[in-house]
Parts: sequence; C-alpha cells; structure tokens
Amino acid sequence: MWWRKQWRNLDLPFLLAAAAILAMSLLVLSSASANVAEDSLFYVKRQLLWIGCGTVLALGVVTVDYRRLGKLAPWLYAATLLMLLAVLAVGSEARGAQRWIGLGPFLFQPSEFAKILVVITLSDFLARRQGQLKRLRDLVPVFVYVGLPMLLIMRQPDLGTSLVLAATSLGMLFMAGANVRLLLWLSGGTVAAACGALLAHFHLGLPLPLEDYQIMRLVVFLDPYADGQGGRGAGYHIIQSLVAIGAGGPFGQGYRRGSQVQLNFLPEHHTDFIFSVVGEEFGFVGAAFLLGLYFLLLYRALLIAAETDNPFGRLIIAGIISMFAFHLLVNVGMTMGIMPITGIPLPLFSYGGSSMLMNMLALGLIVNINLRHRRLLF
Amino acid sequence: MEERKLDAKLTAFLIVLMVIFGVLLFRLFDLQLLHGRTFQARAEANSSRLLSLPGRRGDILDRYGRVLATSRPVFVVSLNTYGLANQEEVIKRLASLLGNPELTPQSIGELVRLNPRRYEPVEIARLPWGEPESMEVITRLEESREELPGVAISTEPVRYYPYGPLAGHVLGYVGRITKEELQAFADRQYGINDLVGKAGLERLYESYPVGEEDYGLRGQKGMQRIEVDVRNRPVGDPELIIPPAPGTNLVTTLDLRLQQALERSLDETIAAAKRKNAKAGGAAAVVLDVRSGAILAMASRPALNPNDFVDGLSRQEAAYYDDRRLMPYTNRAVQGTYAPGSTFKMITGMAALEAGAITPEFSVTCTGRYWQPPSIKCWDVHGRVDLYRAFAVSCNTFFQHAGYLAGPDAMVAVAREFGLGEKTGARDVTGESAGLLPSPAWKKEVGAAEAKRNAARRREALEERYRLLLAQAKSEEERQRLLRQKGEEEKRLEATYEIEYRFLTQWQPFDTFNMAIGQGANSFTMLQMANYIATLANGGQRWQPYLAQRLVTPEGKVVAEFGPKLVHRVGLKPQTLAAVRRGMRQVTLPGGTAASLFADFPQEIGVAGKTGTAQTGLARDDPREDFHGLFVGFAPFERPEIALAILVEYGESGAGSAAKVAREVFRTYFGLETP
Repeated sequence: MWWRKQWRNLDLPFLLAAAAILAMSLLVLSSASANVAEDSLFYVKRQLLWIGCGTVLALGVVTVDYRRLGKLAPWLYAATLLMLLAVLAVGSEARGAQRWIGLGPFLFQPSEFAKILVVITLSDFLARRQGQLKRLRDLVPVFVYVGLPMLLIMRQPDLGTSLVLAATSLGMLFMAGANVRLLLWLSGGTVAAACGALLAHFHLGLPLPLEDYQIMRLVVFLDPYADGQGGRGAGYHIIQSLVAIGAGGPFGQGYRRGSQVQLNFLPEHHTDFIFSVVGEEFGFVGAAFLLGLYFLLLYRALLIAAETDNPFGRLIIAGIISMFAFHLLVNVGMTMGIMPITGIPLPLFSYGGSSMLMNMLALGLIVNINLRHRRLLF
Repeated sequence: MEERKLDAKLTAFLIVLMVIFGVLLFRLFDLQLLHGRTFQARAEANSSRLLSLPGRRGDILDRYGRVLATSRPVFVVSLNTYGLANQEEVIKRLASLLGNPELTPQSIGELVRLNPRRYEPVEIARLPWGEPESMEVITRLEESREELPGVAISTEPVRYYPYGPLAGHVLGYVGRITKEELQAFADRQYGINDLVGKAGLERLYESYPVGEEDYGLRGQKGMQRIEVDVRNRPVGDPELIIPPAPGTNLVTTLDLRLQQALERSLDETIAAAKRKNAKAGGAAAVVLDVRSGAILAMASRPALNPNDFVDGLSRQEAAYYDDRRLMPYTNRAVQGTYAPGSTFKMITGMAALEAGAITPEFSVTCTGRYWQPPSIKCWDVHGRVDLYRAFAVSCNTFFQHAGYLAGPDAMVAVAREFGLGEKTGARDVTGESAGLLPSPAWKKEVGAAEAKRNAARRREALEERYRLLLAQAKSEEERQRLLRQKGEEEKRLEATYEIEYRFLTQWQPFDTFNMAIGQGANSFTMLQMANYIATLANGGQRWQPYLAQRLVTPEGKVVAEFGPKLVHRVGLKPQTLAAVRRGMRQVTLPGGTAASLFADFPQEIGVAGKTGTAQTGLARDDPREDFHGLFVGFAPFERPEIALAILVEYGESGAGSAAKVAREVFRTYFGLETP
C-alpha cells in the first residue's frame, strides 16, 4: 500500500489507551443499562454499533490527508451553522431542550458534531493568524467566529456544549500563540463575571437569561440538600451519585452488584452519570485506573502534537485535548459533586451515538496527524 | 523513532492536564477512601424498603349485625420481570394458565411495559378468594411454578359485598382514588393506589373524625420494613414498624331480610312489567319505621352491584352502567321524582276536610266524569261515593270536587305539612331531590317567564319578516304602507301576549283538578312519599329519615350513636288524619283497588294503602299507554309500625305492580308465610 510506510509512525500506546477505554465502557454499560431497557443488552448492542460505525468513520478520516481539510474549512463552517439552525427549526424536543434531528430510526445530535467541526475550522482560522494574536482587537474576529455556533447551541438550550466550545477555543488560542496574559484576563474575567452574576441573582435578584432549573443545576452541587426539596429535587442526582461512588470504597461493590445503580436509585446512570457506576462497582482502584487511561490517551496526544510541525495539525490536537480534558473535568467532577450539572457526557464512555461518533472522529484525526507528521516522508 | 520533546506550550498543556487529573483523583480519594464507610452505610439504608400494609376497611352491617359489606382476601398475581431472561415465554405461559380472554400475552406485555418501576413487580390479575374458578387458576399456577419464574401470588384484603347488588345504591362502592381526591384529602395520607369510598355510605362514612381520631370505615395503613438484595429480592423477615389498624364498623338501620324481600319482589315485578312494556326496568322503593324515620329498606332499579367497581369496571359492565336511558347509577328512591297520581289523594281529602268543605259522610255521584269543565274523566262509573269509598275505588270525580271545594292553596298547604316538594333532609343519602309541588305562586313565576319567552320569539319573527319586505319595497308609498301594517301587527302581538300571560300565570281550574288527583307538574321522590305516609300513619310527626345507627370499633366500643330527629309536627286536626287513614284501610278491604292482594292478611295487621297509576309526564311516552305503577301504605292499621312508598316504572297500574311488591314487604315484616 502506498501509505504502508506511514504506519511505522503509529503511536500504539495512544490506540491501546483508546481501545481499553472503549472496552471498559462496554463492560460498565452492560451492568449500568441492564435494568433500563427490556433487553438487558439493548444499550450494549447499540453502543457496539456506534463504536463500529465510529471506527469505520475514523479509518475513513485517516486515509485522507488532514491538511486537505484546511481547504474545506469555510464549507465545513457553513455546514456547522446550517446544521445548528436546522435543529432549532425542526429538531425534536426531550426534557425541555431541542437537540435532536430524527434520521430514520436514530436521533442525530448536531451540537456534538459541531464540536469537532469547530475544532477543524477554527484550527484553519487560527493557523492563518498565528503570531498576530497579540492585542484584544486581534481576538475579536476569533470570538465572532466561535461565538456564532456557540450562541446557536445556547439557544437549544445546551449550556454545557457551549461551554465546551469556549474551553476548546481557549486551549487553541493558547496554542496559536495568543497573548497569554490577555487570555488569562479574559477567561478569569468571564468566570468572575459569571460567578458575580449568580451571586447577584441570588442575593440581589438580578434577572438572568436562564431558566430557574438551569440556574439550580449550576449551583446545586455546592449544597445538594439545599435544592428547596431537601435533596429530592435538583440535588437528588448529586446525592445519589456521591453515595454510589463513596460506597464503592477502595475495591468497589463488585461488577453488577452496585445497589445504587442496580436498584435505580441513581437515574441516568448509563449516560451522564456512568462514572458513578465505575466508582460504585469497581471502587477507587477501578476509577483511578480509568482516569489513568484517559491521562495516557491525552498525554500520547500531546506527544503526537510535539512531533508535528504543521501548525494546523498542532492546533487540531490542542483543540481535541482541550475538549476531552474539559469533558472529563466537568463530567467526572459533576458525579463527585465538585462541578455543576451541565449534562455533558464522559467521552468514549457514556451511552450516546452522536457523541461516540464525534469522539471516534476526533481520535481518527489525531491518528491522521500522527501518521503524517513529517513532510519528508512523502 | 525521532526524538519527541514537548515545547513550552505543550508543557503548559501537560501541567493543566496534571492539575485536572490531580483534582479528580484527590476527590475520588476523598470520597472512596476517606469517607467510604459513611457512604456505604447510606447505600445500605437505600436497600431497605418501607412497604405499607393495608388496614382492613370496616364492615357495613344491618340493624341486627348482619354483614352487608365486608373485606375478604383476594389473590393478587404479579410478575417481576426484573432480571428475567425468557420474559416473552413466561408471559405467554402465564396468559394461557390464567385463561382470561381479556389477559392476552399482548395485554400483559403492555402492563409490564407501562410499569413505571421496572424493578418492582407489576400486578397482572386479581382472583377472588374461595371461588372454585379462582382456586382452579391458583392451583394451575402453583403446579407450573417451575415454568413461571418471576410470577408471585399474594393475598390482600379487598372490599366484598356478599349479597352483590343488594342495597347497592345505599351502600355505594369503593374505587381507586383519583388525582382530584388525592389533592382534596391531602392531609389524610392516601397513596396513589388506595381505594376510597366513591358513593353512598362508603363515601359518607369513609372518614368520621372525632377529635383527633378518625372513626371512618377506612382502615389505617401500617408499615413494615423489608431488606432487599441487589436483585431487589427480599432478604430475611419483614419487620413490622406500625401495625395496621382496621376501620370502624357501621351499623345501619337497614333490615337485611326486608331489603331482600323488597328487591326480590321488585325484580319479579319489573320482569313481568317488561313483558308488557319494553320501557320498563326502573323502580324505586323506600320502607320507613314510622316511629323514628329509620330507613328499613331502600332500593332502586336498575340495580347497581358494588362488587363490579372493586377491580374497576369491565367493558361490558361499563356499558351497562353508562346506559343513558336507564341510568343505573341514579338512586331513584332519593334522586328520581315522579308524579304521585292517586297516591296524592290523601292530601286532597285532608285539605277538604280541614277546610270544612266536606265531612267524611259527604258524597258525590260519579257518572264517570266530573261535571265542572274542563274536567278529567274518572276511570269508571262509581255512582254514589263518600270519602271512604272514594279512597277504596280511587274515584277521580270525588277528589276533583273535593279539590275544587278546598281550593289550591289549601291543598298546597297540607302537602307542605307533609313535606312534599321539599327535601326530607334525610341523613346518609346523597343527591336528594326536592321534587316539585306546584302552587299558584309557582305558576305565576314559571308562566311569566314562558310568556315572555314566547313573546320575544314572535316579536323576532315579525321583525325578520318586515326587514325582508321593507328591503323589497319598490316605492316610498309601499314602504309607508308596510310600516303601518307592521304597527298594526305589533299591536296584535301585544294583545296576544296579554292573553297568553294571563293564561300561563293564572292558576286555572284544570290546575286544581290535576293537582287533586296527583297529576300535572306534581313530582316527588319515593323517600318523600314514604315519609308523607309515615307522618300520616303516626299521627303527624314528621321524622328525618336516616340510615346510620352507630359506629362500632372492631373491639366493640360504640364511638357514635345516631338517633331519630323530629322535623315537624303536622298542624292538622287528628280527626282529619284519622278519617283519611280509614279511607286508606278500605283500599285493601273487599271493594278496594288492592283488595285481592291483601285478602289473606290477618285482621290485626290491617294494611292501609293507596294505589296510584300515574302518567309519566315524559314527552317520549304515550299518555294513554305508558303509566307508572305506585303504591303507598302503612301497617298495622291500628298501631302503625312501617310505611312504604313503591314505584314501578311503566308498571301499568299500581295494583298490578307496586302493590304486589308492597304485599311481599309487609308479609316479610310481619312474618307471614308465603303461600
């Protein structure tokens, strides 16, 4: 094969870490979803299907030189916006949010794909501006560029995914050589402003453009029993998740023996709260092992970036690492009561088709860059 | 492999990653290793379940303590699909063993699918205890235990009415609580699956607060704790935390034997009536103790079987109860109002006697028609008729004249004395109707409204007609002519209104005649009729009818006692009442309209009564063919004990239907042998 030589560059630990995470996800999912659907393997089968599709998709991405994607960036960007507009126009609603578009028997979640598409297009956008991101006014076009899809996602409303985009852009701006002090000021300022707004909302009655339940979910982790219903309202999830993880102890309750999960005390334990299942059934040993796998995956991605001299490729990897890291921090942090409830999944682990495909696509992109890190090989 | 070195930026990334993973790991360490024990205890607490135990509902008893409504265990077949591998097969097998055509594998699958708590068993069927069919099914299920993993059979106390439809309208029924009721009784701790009294005594005595305690029929729920394992299977013995407390028993004034005799006879009579008139099927009856107003028996037809409601109505049952024409839900004895027909004649007689217009010896000659126009025909030619004979043969001529002599106001006044046209205020019944006692004042009010309505309608038609004509007018001359014409017609309308108003609002002689024989707008409930006869029988004491006698706890403590209550003392001369009672006695003696039915009654019992054959007054009925049969009466004549009022819809005649029922009631009450 013409690209056989390139496979020598392949970063095996990276792939092994990804494969191990996926395998563990199937194992945990079969325990977590056993009592959710009639067919106890329903979710495992579907997830396996998504992983299969994701692998095909990733392999497809690997065969095309990623540098060609840069040329497609404007089209991809336009497609992203169209997709997000479509979901607002014709999307179906679930639990108060409009996030899905029906495609045959499946529901397709455009905001998931928007994440990876924004990474690709913003990488191109920033690669052209490298070294010219010193002043605030240099950053304005970038904010507008990212701001458009972010606003559309916020309209769904999907606060979590918008925040993912913000965190991803921040990491990419840093990688593109933007003024670090400026970035620190801006991000610190935004966080401070958000906290200030929430404080003002609770103490001074400042109106916020968010629904009450959204605000509640943002702050309830600080004291889950203070949800107005003594821990049976918005705090219920967090309390049950804390009990599940804590009860896991050092070695866990055992596979398929976690009472919090198996007796359904913990809702959504096959999607957003799947980390609690790991914590309850495999204990500290298992949960720390899983976190170790994620760390290995991201560390290897950093190494792949290190040997790549193409700025576009480095930016893509920086974006993907930022995105994964933010997902991990917020999702795992949420299950342990140190992060707000924002409803973002655990990458490569939570049940969900769109999110799995998107994550596999991201891995494929990194492998793509991994295989073509040196121009001289061609 | 080339050397890989992280530059400054990538190192910064690595540091951020290490911080993030460090924070997560630290929190994990904190939760699982430092506080693991605390959380383990919390998780274990989560695995104990509190189950409520139903408290047995109190019984409803008759006056002698015989059980009318009770609770009995019922088999509950449930299916726990949690962790069940061959669910479809089990469901198929279960459906075939249950053998209930309404429980197909599909419908059971649907029940399982709709179960909001997947890990808890779902109820599939309830089978009554002690019936051979259900014992058979249970045996079949037990024998096939091996093929039915996840299927459980338990028992639960459930409301049961041993006599089925007997006194169904009086007892009422229980049913699953509705959302509205849950809200309304928020302070009484009902659960969403609880049964609650929906109608009749079951509803009225659901709750009976005395101070802090509730002495209602409803039992107080108990609580037990069970430990469950990861598969939600109970571990060890349940621990009783709060024992359930049974509800209070309600002793009623009903007499089971009398109620049975009444209903049996009603059913036979209705069946006979149906053979002659397809519209038959409805009936109402009340039997009172004339010395207290206690309701000894009360029935309404079509029947209502409270057992039907315990598990919810089947489709077939729902169709029966929703019949728009027969309306089985209605308790006709207290909610249905009917023209009294000839059973009103005692009022007419008393009004004439009291006014001094006639004496018992006063007589008229009946030629088959009252001589004053516009008179109503008598049903026969009776010749010379005095008061007593008038009752015996139910002579329309005599009573029309008596009514004419007494006048409408006197009749209305006497009817009011006996509580006609107003609620009896009976305790323990719901939805009592007031009926309607027409009077000149009432007619003025109703007639004025009708006259105005008619005038407005005619006026509108006139305007409409002239609007068209005027629009088509070809010349100014023609327009003027039309306007003049319209003015004249308006004047004529005004005159019509005056005439009609006078006619509709003024009490007419025929109104008096109609009232005298119990027709026209008169309509009363059988409860009112029975109470009127009881009042007449006991010499003028109008009691408040009632059903509940005492509330007794299961330990035998009487927590509430309900007694008779006098509402009114009739202000008529005792001789007046006595004369009319004597007239009623003639009805069952030779020559009376119901003589043949009571011929074999011993002298000392002496039934006094009055038959009635009333036009139904319904637009869809034929006034020459469709008659309701009535009978009112009391006994014994010398020292009255019970009074009754019976109505059989489309019973053709009083003697041919209602009087037969009355005869069975009296027979049972006085212990006469049935021939």
